[in-house]
Amino acid sequence: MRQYALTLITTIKPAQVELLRSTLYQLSDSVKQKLRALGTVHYGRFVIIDETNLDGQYTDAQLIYTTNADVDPDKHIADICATMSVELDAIYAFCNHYQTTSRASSLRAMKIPEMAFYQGSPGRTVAVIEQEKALYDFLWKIKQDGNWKGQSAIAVHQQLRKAVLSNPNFDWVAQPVDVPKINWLGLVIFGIVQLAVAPFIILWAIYMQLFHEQFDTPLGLDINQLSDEHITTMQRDEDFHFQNQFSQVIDMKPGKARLFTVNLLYFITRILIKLLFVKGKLMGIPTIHFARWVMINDKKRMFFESNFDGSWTQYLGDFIDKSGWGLTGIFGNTKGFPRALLLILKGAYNQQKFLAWSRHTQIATQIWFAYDPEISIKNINNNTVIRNLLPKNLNEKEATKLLALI
Amino acid sequence: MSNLIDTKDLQGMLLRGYGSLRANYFTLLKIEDATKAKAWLQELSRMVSHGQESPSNAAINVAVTCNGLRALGMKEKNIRNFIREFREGMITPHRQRILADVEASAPENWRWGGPEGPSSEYQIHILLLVFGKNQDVLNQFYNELAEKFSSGGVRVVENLSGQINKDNKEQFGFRDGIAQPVIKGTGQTGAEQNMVEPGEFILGYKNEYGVYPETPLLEEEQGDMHLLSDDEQGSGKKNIGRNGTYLVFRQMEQKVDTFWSYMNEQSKTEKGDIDVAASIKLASLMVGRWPSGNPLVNFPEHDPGTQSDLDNFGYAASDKEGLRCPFGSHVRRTNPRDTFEDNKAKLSTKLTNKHRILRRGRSYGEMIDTPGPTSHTPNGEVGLHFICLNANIENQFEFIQHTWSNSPKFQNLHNDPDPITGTVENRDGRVQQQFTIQDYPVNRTVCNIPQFTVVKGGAYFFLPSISALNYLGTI
Repeated sequence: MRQYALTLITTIKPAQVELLRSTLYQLSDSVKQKLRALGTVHYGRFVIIDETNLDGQYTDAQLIYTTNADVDPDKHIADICATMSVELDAIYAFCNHYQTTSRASSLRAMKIPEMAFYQGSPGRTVAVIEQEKALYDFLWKIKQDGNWKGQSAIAVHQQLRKAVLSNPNFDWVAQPVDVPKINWLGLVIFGIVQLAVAPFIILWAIYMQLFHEQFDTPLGLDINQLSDEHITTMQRDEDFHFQNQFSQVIDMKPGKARLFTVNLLYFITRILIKLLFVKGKLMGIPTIHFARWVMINDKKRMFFESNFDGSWTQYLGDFIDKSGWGLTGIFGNTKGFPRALLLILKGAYNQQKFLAWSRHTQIATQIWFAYDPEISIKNINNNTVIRNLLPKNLNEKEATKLLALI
Repeated sequence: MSNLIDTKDLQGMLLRGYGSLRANYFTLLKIEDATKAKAWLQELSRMVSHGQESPSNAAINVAVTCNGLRALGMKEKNIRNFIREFREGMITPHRQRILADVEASAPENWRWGGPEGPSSEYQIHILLLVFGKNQDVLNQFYNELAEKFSSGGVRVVENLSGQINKDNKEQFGFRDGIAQPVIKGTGQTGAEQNMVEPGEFILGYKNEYGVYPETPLLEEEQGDMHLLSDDEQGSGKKNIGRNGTYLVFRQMEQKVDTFWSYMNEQSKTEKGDIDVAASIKLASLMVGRWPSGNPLVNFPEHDPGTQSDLDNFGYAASDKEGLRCPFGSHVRRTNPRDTFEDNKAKLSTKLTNKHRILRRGRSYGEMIDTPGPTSHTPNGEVGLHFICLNANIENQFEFIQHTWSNSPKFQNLHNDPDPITGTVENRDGRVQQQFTIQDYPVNRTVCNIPQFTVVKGGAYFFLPSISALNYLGTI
């Protein structure tokens, strides 16, 4: 079962931004309630991108709506038009290109593609995640109430399995959920192709260093030099739940070379997301529920968003520790990023400057929805492992491994 | 040689916990007359114990809050360059969420450092950390200091009395303060895994990321600038932070009766009697060390008994599954050593060392003799004056508290906050607070953990170098 990304963007009518902002905050609870009621939406958000001056040109403020859903974009648009038309009308009244007489087609016309879309729990619907959570709770309770002293792991597993499979609420457990596996063959082929083109990439990196990177102007600020007000605004919405959200808008560095580089990196990211990052880790980071990259304003700006577990400090720190090179490869093509070397070196590894750049370019998310904001992506993936192992015949070692997860 | 540290300019507590100076006062002062206070601070800076001293009788160190800098007359543009956590203080709404200072621990209920009242955060300007080898020596030393408070333009807001208990035990009865990082470049040595770059603890030096931590550079000329050294990074500005650090202070009441009653209840025999050994074992599983300080990972079955400061160990080689020392135990989650998430051991140690703190806390209140399953009712309030030193409060103290201690999802757990310091009052029982003991064939879980520690006060301080303290007397 696939999770679909949807990204809608439209401009906001002149002088209506503040009204829209307050409307979004007012409607937040009701929008979240309705998205939840659909039962097919993992995550969703409305984000205002303020007006700006882009390469000397005035650019209107814009409204972005994004979701990760279990239904395709057309169906999701139809769903929200059917169930939250009042909210949509109130929100999009401040925007261009929206007709209350043709809501669905107005929204469909706002759709733009994602350049890359990572999911921490591919293959699972909202319903499956909820079911598996219920299964975990059920197993945990049996485990907790029983006296298992002196029994083997196999014996315990068999009793748990019996309790589940004889319970009509869990008849779905007999069928394993199909989750993607790491595609080793694909990775080998990808690796060979990479080796073949490596000389060109190295030459390209040298070209970028000689003619672009050394002339870059990094933001150059430490986190303490950012506006206190901006950080307070960001933190006002943080850490109410176990999950947090991140929305970011960055201007691209000008020129075709940058666009080519970022497109190359997007391409590699898309391939790795398909082949390798299918087990709940993005470049080794085990706390990301999803991440998406979108190009906006004629590819002059990048919009990035994600949902993550735990604190902002941990999230950004993980990026530096585990995938600073990947970050630098992509975000090094945006303005203000700490100076990179040969595309993937330095850059994000400059901790203070990278954290400051991240906060500086972060923008507020006016409405943020997560179906279950308290569950971690590790919990979700563990629950699937439990579900898929439970109905099988396991040896002592396998049974021990399974029981350790409960 | 920017990494060769001038330990004579460091306040001594950066390098030592003054273990032989058993009694202490943590004195919170308000500045009433800035001119007098500055002269007094200059005099005090000559008395402060520095890093090369190893005092055997008495010692004093001094820290200052952001409101204290303001009261001394530091210009706002200069204050602005101190890190945000220090400038904003401990009790902002966001910080209350991440530190779990809610319900019983909410700042409104604090004895000091809260939003209002005669001991509020606005009244606390200076912290004196006064140590003596015993109570008599301490009192004599303190009285000499206190004689000059009035002429020094300062007034006592709170004088918090404390001590190191027998066998270095905190009030629940566990040997404490064992795991400490060792700062490279200070001449001190330790196990390789504990050697940490100076910039994690001392401003003006590179940290574990290989960069200089943010340090307060002076934007505007003020006072005798010659007393300060230049910015190491070449901005041409003076660095008031160099050889200084940030100090986190939290007064935590320890509910000893609640703690041991809970352990007894959860481990009682079938007849309902107290099972002393099982009760101690459960408490030790939650702490991650035995009362003697011996780590569970080395001694999973029994406490070998003799007091131990064993610190050179990891979890990766012998306890990847958490079967000896549970993942959720206090010491494992606040210092995961070589098992940071699911990284390899070497990388884990490297990552863990980006989030270390120097702990300098001390107990307060009368400790009961051998606290445990059958003796757990102290005479009055007891607790810990938790103090730690770090260069980056957000990435060190707050990270440990928020991402590791308070997080119910640490490692692969589901509803397990730190059983010692991460549980909240939970009046209506709406939050599941449990502790999972990894075991064979199934994990054991104890549920409905009450709140064992309640925050009673707190603030963020700047612990200046001795030269910077002297400088503060000239502004």
